[in-house]
Amino acid sequence: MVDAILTFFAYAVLAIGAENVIFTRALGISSGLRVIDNPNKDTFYFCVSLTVFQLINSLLAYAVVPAVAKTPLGEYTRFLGPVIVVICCAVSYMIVIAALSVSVKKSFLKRIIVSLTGASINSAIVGTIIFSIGQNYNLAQTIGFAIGSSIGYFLAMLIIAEGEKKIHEDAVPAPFKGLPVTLIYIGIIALAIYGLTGHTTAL
Amino acid sequence: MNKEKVLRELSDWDDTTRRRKITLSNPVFIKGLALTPLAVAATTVQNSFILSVCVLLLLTPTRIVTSAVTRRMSVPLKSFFYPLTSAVIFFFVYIFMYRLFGTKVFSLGIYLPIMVVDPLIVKNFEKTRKESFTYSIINGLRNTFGFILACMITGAVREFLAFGTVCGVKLLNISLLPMAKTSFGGFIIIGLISAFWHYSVKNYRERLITEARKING
Repeated sequence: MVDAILTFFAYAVLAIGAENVIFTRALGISSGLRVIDNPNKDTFYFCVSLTVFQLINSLLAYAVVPAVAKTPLGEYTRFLGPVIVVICCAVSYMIVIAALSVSVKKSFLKRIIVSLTGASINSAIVGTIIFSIGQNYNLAQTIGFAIGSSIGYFLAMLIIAEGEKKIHEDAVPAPFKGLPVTLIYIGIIALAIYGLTGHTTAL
Repeated sequence: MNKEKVLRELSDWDDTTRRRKITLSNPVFIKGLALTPLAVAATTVQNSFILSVCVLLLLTPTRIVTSAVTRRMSVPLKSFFYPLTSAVIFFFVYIFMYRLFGTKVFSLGIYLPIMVVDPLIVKNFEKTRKESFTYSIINGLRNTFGFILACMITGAVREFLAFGTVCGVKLLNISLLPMAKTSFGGFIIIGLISAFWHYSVKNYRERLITEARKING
């Protein structure tokens, strides 16, 4: 039990920092930038929703993928992976929407539905799950990596959003304004994290 | 430059960029789509070619199927129908690509399977405007070739800088910038190419404005 808890925390911490989904694996970067630049989408609700979906989807995929591997479709599991993960995402979305529709006000649900929809399916979720399946993680590793990845994604989004605010557009040469300077900024942060990990991948 | 062309392109610049999506509104360098596979996996021309074939076989068919079926669907429903369609198409594409390239397709790790949920493929679910069958093909092909152009340029530049080769042909005995093969190197190089792309588009527009002034006397 102690081993499982330690494993959970180790994988969560690694996924937040050294194996950050955005800065190390670039997962969910296009969706993230679209959320930051879209005033109709709330970054906080987006990231909280993403954490919930990430956890549910990881658990669903953890249970479903080995079960599919035992069926006659087993030899195609590697190719079926994305289909299974997307179906898991659809199921978890319906579960969350059903739970929210009976527990929160309609006006609040209407406000967060755009963030929920975008957060429920993107490459940060699908990539993390396919990576976990590929690495044959056990339950503690899967949960730790899922939660850590989502928190890491949230922190990365905050750093990028804050960076975009702090970059003085007037001081940036015209061709670098917008996407180019943001990408270079992300690259420099990713370089710093790479330096911290000692030039190697932790997992 | 042709007078009609100059005036037509300038009179509706948004339409011009939409029609010339491959260059003037490139999905990667201008719109920032599909950055994940490009930043990490497009480190050589060969990897870029595999990614390009995947997008070629995945993007337009997904758009055609979804534009035909999702006309009456709500956005939340569409948001799952799009990735589900692309995932099912990807299943067959992945098997086909495995037969074509062998185990090389697995060397791209998670970066090939995650194409099924990349905004380049599925971002259309957010649109409320209905898309005609012909337009879905044309727009799908524009996005596809825009991605292929960006992917091949990124792959070639990174391969040259990181390994001193292009398409596997040795051009230099040293590697000029080993970090070009890493994800952070990918972000910085894509950022620099994107800046050059923005500069070229701005330059092209300014040239059109100068031409238009000359025409109008």
